[in-house]
Amino acid sequence: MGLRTFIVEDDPFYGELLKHYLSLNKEFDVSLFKNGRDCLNNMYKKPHIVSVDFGLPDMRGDVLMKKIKDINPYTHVIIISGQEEIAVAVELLKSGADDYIEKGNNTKELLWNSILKIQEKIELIKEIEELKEQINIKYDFEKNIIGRSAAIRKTFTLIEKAIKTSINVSITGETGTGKELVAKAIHYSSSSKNSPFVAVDMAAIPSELMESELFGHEKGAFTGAVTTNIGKFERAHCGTLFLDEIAELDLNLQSKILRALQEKEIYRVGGTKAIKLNFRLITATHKNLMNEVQEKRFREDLYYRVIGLPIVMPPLRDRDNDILVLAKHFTEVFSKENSLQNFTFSTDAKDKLMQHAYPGNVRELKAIVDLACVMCTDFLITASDITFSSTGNSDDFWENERTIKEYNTEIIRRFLNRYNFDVISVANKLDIGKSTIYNLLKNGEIKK
Amino acid sequence: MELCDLTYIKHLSNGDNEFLISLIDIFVKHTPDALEEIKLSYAKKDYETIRRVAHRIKLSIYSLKINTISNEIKALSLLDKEKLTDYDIKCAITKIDITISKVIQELKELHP
Repeated sequence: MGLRTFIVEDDPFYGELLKHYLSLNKEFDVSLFKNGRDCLNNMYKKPHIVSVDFGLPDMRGDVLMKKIKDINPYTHVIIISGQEEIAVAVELLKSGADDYIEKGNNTKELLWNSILKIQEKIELIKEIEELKEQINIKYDFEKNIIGRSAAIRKTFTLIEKAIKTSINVSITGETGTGKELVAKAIHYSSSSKNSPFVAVDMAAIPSELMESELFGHEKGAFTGAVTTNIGKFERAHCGTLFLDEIAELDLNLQSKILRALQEKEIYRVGGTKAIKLNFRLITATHKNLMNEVQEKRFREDLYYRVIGLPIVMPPLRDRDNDILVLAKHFTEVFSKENSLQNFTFSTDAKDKLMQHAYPGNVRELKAIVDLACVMCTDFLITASDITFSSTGNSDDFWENERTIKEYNTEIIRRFLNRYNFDVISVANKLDIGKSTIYNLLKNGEIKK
Repeated sequence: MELCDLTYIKHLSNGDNEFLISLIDIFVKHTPDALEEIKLSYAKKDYETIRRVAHRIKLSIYSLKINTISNEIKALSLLDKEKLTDYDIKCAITKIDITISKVIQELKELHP
């Protein structure tokens, strides 16, 4: 399909000349009109670009542009004028003209270039729209958070509730359970999906840069601040701010974030002007945030600000048959990405997959399956193709012979690590007394 | 041709002689009407119409490289009553009218 271009030019000689010249580009589908009324009568043809002579006999170029934009705000308008006044050009550009060309000897070349630029812009806009659509599909959680277990279905219910409102969301779960995937799924399925999703990994930013990174800074705020910089909070305006690993925030910055959340406004570093903001906050951590509060490492008032709707991502070992459902899904993705036929799992391979503890959760399972796809022959994955390489798996556990007492201590140590030293949870999980665990911690057999 | 130069529009026609002739026909047919409108407007002291019509035909004149009247047509298309007297306007219109008549005569002889 050509780039539908209307030329509105009352000089028939020059109009024909422009039409002929632009038609030399086979991608331009050019129509010529001698006045504004004829152009408007043909707007049903949905031109991509209208080139308007400012001094038309029946209406001025700015009036025609407004009428064109009223009919189709996406039509690009180029004004050609002999006004030769900068002020007129500025006003026209402010009113929505895509370009302003002075009528002169090189008008047609300037028009040609202007149309090419607009064509590029149209293609970019189209590309952005397609990418946005792809993101929506990618983060459609019903299609992309795979699983049928009761544990993950409970998560789905909470995600649905989060999507319907703008409530803050806090996601907890072990590493590799898909916390960021859930955050994106909530954002891209919500009413603010066309606004920014801004993710910040609090563990990855040095503490001395954190404030400037989050709130931005004014030019000259500190040595090296040569330009004004917009921070993550401002970038997330009207969208979603995702603070990953929020438990890693130092106490000083926690108070500043608390203020920003309470007042819904921020100050750039070195700035004096309050900037009002509106966004949904999604936080994530692999730690038990309440424990962090009890240990005085996380402010209680901030905890209640961020907790919103809590979503706990279940570890893979608690997701029953999801391990096999996910493994199958990952083989399908692998096949698609590498243009291969589908893989199948032997019964012993399935058993082996089901017996593993997956301390690295879904991320670990994907790595295991990807490797198995490479290692297997004839697209059949057997037990020998499955290699567990993560630390803390059951094979390592049995590697060195120990006494029963040593095994008990090791089990308790691993559970304490898994539950962030939440003694009560570990005692409940292992069905043992809390005092047993406290004694091990007290006498130094288990160290934090 | 003495008063105009077809090199530019021949170049733009890119060897399309039919288009070149149609372009000349348009000039021959429409420019006298435009000049008539300018003369009538001058008689009525309607300077806005003079400016608008001069602006309209300005690029036709530039394209045919009718350089002897390029200053006059530009002056009329920007018509500034603080800079131009009625006499200046009248002289410019007369010069343009005479020159265009001669150019049209030349074009008709070239492409009867």
